[in-house]
Amino acid sequence: MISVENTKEVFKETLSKSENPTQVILSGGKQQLARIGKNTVYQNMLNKEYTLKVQVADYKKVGNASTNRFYGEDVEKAIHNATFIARHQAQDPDWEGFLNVDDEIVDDKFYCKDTMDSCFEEKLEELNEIFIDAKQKNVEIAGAFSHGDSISAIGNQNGMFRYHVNTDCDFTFSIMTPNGGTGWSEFHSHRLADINPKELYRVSLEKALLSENPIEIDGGEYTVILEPPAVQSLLFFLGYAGFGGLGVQEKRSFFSEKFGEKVFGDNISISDNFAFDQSFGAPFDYDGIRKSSLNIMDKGVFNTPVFDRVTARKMNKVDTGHALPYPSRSGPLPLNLCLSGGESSVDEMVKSTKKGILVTRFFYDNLIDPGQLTLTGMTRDGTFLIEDGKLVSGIKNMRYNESLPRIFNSIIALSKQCWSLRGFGRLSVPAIKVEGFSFSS
Amino acid sequence: MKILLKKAIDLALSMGADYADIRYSKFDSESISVKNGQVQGVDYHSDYGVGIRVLCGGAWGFASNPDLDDSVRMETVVKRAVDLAKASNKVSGNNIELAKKESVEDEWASKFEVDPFTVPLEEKLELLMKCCEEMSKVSGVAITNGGLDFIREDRLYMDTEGSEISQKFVQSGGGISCMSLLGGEVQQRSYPSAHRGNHNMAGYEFIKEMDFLQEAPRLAKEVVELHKAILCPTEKMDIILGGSQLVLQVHESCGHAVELDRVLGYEANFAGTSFLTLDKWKNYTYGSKKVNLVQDGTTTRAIGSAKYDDEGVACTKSDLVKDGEFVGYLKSRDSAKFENGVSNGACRAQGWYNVPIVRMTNVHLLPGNETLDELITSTKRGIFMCENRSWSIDDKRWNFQFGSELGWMIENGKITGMVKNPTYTGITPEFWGNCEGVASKDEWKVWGTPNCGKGQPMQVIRVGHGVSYAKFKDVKVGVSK
Ligand SMILES: [Zn+2]
Repeated sequence: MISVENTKEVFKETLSKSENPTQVILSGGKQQLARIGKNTVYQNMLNKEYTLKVQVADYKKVGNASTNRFYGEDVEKAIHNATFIARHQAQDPDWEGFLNVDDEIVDDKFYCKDTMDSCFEEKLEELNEIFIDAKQKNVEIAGAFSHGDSISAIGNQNGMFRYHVNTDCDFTFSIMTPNGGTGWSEFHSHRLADINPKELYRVSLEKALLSENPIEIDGGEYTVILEPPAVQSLLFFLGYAGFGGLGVQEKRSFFSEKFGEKVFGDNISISDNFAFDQSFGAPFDYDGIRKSSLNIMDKGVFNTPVFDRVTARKMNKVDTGHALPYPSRSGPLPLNLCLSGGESSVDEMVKSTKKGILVTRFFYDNLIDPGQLTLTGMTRDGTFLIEDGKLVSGIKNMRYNESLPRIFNSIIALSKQCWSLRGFGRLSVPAIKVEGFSFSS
Repeated sequence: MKILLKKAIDLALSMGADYADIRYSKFDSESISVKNGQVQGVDYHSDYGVGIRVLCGGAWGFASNPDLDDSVRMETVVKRAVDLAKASNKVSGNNIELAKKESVEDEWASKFEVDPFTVPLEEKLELLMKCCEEMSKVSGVAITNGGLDFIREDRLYMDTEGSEISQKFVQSGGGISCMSLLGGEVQQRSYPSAHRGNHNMAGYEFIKEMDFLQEAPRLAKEVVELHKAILCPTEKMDIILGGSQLVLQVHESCGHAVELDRVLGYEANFAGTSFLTLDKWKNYTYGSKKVNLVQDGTTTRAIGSAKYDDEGVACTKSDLVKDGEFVGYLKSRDSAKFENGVSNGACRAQGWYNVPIVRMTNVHLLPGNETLDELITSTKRGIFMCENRSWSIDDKRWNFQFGSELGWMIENGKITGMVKNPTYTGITPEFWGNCEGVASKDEWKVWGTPNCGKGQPMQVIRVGHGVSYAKFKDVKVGVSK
């Protein structure tokens, strides 16, 4: 980890070399990652990667240059390049200038020292027992197991200093059986100690065995129970294509003309919350603006998209602190979305379903029509037929074609428990039960 | 530099490694974006470092290092790679064997006429701004975009088998697009393709050849007209694909499906597996007799080309699908126990900080004998689609659904009008099995896909695809809700 002191030193040295108004952004981190395939660790790597981005302004002309060095001629070259670009490029009439404050934000609330000090090799030994068990059961494991830290820090010549570090541990587990069964489980936390590989193995093994010899069923509308990884896909696209301030301002977004309107069901509340355990992130955006928790959708009523300084000014709204690094083609985006849970559980949802489908996760989802928020994608790693309150059989993967507004108006139950998942940033999601969900094949 | 790298791999051997390779890469990129005639951003990025990969008793370890000047640090990194390999080796089941390759000392550089990094920024901005201006002249155009991307990479590769390879790459690309919004309907047109345009292993001359300005007025006109076009019908009919739509069809349903690491299950947790399992090799009909697909890491100007891959194996050209029959995979040294048991030079890494894995170099649909004109005139009822808008395919590369920006309705051999929101869906071998014709080499050209993602951590690499036009019968179109 690069300490606060070291970061300040790098910033001071870099900023002192530039004659124009300048801002620096340091990002990156250290990651140790083991990939699992065919019941063994076949890729095991350590990666350290940092980027120092220099932004130089020449009135309303801004140049960006980045390097993976912090000192010496590479940094000088980056400053030179950014200055050159600024000088030779056209004005950006929307340029807001570097934030003119001299305060500091230092945040390491989600940095777990034990995680970084822990011995990765020991965790591999734990995995070995699982691999041996998998071989005995004649199933095949694939997965990825990583831990590391990441930093994002910003400083400018006005004295603004922002620093956020956190640790990250991610574990994903797929299991395949010889008869076409597949199962999936994943867990994400900033604490390595939270991750229990044996429990994850148990969950995906159960799914894999239950989904063996999957049957084929026809497309059509079904009651579906979407487990958290499947809900993550939906919430991700809702945030990416719907809740960005630029899309709203340019009238490209489904929510463009819908401020204060009831657009989703009463049971849908969505916030962007960087301070929450399951969706944590930096308490500031890439302009250095301090974030606060944002209520995007309240009981189905659309409250606001996320803004940065430019889009907020253009729409005459308050900046919500969601700028991405300048220049951002996508504009401001939510990085810490939370879909509030309800009162149910996956078990209860299954029990109360006469006929339906349980989806573990979706794969390769993509927008068909961004303005209407229509999506397509495939189910993956455990799709089950539910009859009379029980999972009766695995079913072959199916393609869905659905619109997000329709789905979020047809949710009849949400689980009380929410899970932390990775997407564009981190998301906190419950499992949901949807009526009339449309599979095309 | 060579001395430094040699020292590192020798050190790995002395620490107990059976094999080591090391890659130094210095990467520079320039990215320019203009939106609505205003500069959206100019970004210049530079990084360099080394990645060392070691094999200990049949298991891999890898560590990367940006601090080249620090010899103590280098030692630590080599030790880390060896330790990781030893730790993996303790886990049961690892027995990696490397297929044989020739050791070489060689140098290679891609060809270009005009170094894109020497072209003044003003000239690049002016081109994009003019394009935006042209497009915004058409009433109804709401948003205009233009982008240019240039990269330059110097790579040095060494391994303990005696190879020493230096390669230099220069690539240029870009594109323009416009959007029109009407009552909640969003339409987009792009040239030469969406998703940041087309890319070649070439200099700035490639940007000039694409002649964005010439195409700008057409795009603007089409995007506004799209609102009035008929909605894509829902029925089974013929389709003709070209441009980036056919590129993506090849990329997703063939290129990824023949990656041997996917087939073996090493990508099962992330990118997925493949329906082209080992039992199907040389024993499966992938498409009609008209379908010939090759992997070719040697194609001039294609952005997946190199003289050697990131394991020091010479890039090659070989059949993947021959006259419709599935015959070959993309392979690395550690997966190449099949076919003739050697790698075909398709193991690549993004940057110095990633592990090389099986990747597409360039995957082409070879030209056939027809012309585009003949494909159209022989169509009774169909849609012609070129620029991709949306894409989705399952983890076995079996069930896909694509959407294009615009479709042209064909009735009785003639284009009769515009179709909006065209989509189509299919099952890979059925779809390619219904391929009725492929346009000839006169209409064949090389496209670049600069954003192919695979692996963990995700590695984004640049892949080339050569295509002309192809016709498919009985395709389910109009699937979006
Ligand atoms: Zn790809």
